[in-house]
Amino acid sequence: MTAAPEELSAVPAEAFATMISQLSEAAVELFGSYGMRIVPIGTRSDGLLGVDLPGGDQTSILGVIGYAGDKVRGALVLLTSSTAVQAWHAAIGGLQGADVCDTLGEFSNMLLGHLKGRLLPAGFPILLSTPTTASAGELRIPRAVRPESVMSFTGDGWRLDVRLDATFEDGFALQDASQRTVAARAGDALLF
Amino acid sequence: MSVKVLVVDDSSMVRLQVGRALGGAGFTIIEATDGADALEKLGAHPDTKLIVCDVNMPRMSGLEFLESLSANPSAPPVVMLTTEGQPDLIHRAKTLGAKGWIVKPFKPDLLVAAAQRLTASAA
Repeated sequence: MTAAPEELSAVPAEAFATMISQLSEAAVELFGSYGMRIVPIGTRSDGLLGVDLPGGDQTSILGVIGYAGDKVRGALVLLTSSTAVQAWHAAIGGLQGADVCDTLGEFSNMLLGHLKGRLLPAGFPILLSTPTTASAGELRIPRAVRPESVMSFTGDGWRLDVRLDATFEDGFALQDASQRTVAARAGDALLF
Repeated sequence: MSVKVLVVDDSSMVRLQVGRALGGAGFTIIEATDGADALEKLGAHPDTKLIVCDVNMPRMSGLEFLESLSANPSAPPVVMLTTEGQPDLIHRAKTLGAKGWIVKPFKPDLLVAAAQRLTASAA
């Protein structure tokens, strides 16, 4: 769900809507690059993450990574089951036995990195922090008080919940067209 | 003799992936978890011929690591491997002496090709 965007003025509301639409596409692209097909299944009406995750082992894995730009800041939260991340290891190949928390942290980093690259041409540059992860039994993440969007994706027998929140300060603005740049894309390899 | 590559990333998943790709191509892999650790590993392995380095890491970032290497003319070439694709970051890395920039998720064959090209004189 998207909470309280109506409280935003026009420019932040447009920027946040861009973030949400680009985040969904970025997630599909990221998993696709590893040969995994994921499908967005919409937003949760209760705004909660981690409810009734399929997987069976009841161990939740959480990844969170912050971002900041000019007069905007927030965080991306990923929540899924350890079974899901083990399925990612198998899909990627050669990662059996790898640390599930570390892998979710790296996916959090890559997903926000993909989003960052997609926001640059929209005049919305951000900087990323480094991810933090945790695991516990049946984690539940409540709604953020800021404008947020909670979406879910399904893969092959697993679900990934994703929340993006943002706090916009007065005076937030998108860059002028003349300042906008295009980022190198995933998989690009440049030699100098 | 196998060519040594230092892989610098705070994610063990990435170090595993890079190690698998380059190890499969005959390189010997040394791992470091951030820029500060990489400086120590480089001291312990002065025969390292290539460094593959993340950008966003705790303690010492990839760009700070590059900066610390820039005063050393005998430092091995560095390829940045990161989720970042921002042009000004790429330009800064190039100015600091980086020889390449690869955006994650990477294509293993392109990473191997880059490593082979940058270490050709060392093989």
